[in-house]
Amino acid sequence: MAEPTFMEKYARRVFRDAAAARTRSLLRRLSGLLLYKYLDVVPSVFTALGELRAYRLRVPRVEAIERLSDRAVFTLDTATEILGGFRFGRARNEYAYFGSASDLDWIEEASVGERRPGTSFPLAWTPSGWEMLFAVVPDSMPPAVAIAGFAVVSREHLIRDLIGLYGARVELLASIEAKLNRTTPAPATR
Amino acid sequence: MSPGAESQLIARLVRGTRGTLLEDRLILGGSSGLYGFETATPAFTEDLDFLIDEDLVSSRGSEILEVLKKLGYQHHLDTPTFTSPGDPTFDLVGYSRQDFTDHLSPPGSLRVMVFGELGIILEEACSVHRGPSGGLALTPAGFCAAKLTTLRVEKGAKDKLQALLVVAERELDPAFRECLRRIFARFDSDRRQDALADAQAAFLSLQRDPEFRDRGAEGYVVFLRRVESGYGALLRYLGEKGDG
Repeated sequence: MAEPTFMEKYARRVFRDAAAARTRSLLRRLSGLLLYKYLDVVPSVFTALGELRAYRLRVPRVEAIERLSDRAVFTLDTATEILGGFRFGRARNEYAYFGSASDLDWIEEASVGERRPGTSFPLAWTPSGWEMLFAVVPDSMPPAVAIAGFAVVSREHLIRDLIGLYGARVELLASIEAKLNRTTPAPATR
Repeated sequence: MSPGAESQLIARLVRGTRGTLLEDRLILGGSSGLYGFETATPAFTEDLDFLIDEDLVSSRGSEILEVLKKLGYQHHLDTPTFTSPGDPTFDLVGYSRQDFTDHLSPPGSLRVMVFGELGIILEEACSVHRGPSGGLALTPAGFCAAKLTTLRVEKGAKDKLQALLVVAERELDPAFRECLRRIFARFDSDRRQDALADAQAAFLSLQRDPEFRDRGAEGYVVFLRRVESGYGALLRYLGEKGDG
């Protein structure tokens, strides 16, 4: 049999790519309507919204959240825990927006957390035995609601942050539908 | 390669093909399509792509080779690639006005890969314009549609991110918005949704890429924000009901 030409090999690669894309497309459809519903969400990248700092917590995280509650707008797993007692990630990380850099300075002054160097500290991985706070001072604060004495980002923004951090994974989207929709409080925008 | 070598090659090809069968038959496309309009989005490519009608290739392949040879471009046998010492390489990429599937042009002295989506995109007149070199080039909307609908796996997220950056740049341009909407209206809704899903996946993969994230926080943030803004704009455009 004659050796395939360069163009024939190239065409095979193109067809293979097209087949892979078709499979991807079918899998999306098998995942149901959820994936398509969430295509309409513009993911928000928590780390890209402003100045990011990472802190190792120096007090138990429940206490840290309490002490930060008059300055922080919580998001991601911290928000879902406040809203419904569940988290999406395994890491013992807390996530919050703050209004100013002086709020962040206060975290160390009040011995709530110890700042870790760098801005690219892994968000999904925490060293064994550590509890972390990831704090962002955004250019403008995201919309927030008050619940049980805490400020958390609005449902819409929370979904944007969750997809931005964890990706548009089907099981995440199913959890959002099943858990978040059940626990979202009536909007009371701050 | 000298700076601006790509633009020089484009200009030389436009001048050199005047009065030949290739005059106004080559359309600057691929990532090098970014040389065809004003943009700050980097092309990240060392070779250029020119789109060409499959009918012309199959009916006048030898003459095309002859014209390009006279201009100093050597054809690499059994490929769509042309080179000239000191110049960037360029490839001819096929489109068809009749057959909207991916396929090879018929065997002959010149053979190109024909991409189905390009034929669909080029059916919309607003997808092509006369670029800064005086030759034909994809418009920003034509470029974005081509990048958002291409299925090439080996290119990873680059195609989609380039498109999102251009969308972000043109967010306030109504002509761009309308053209992109018109082009996408030619694709079925599954293909439109797949284009969106692939664009969103590219955005998310970029966000999770530690190598990219570590490469200078400021640049990372600016880039991510532009891509985010591009995706938001794309959602708005494709959700719009136009009159076309």
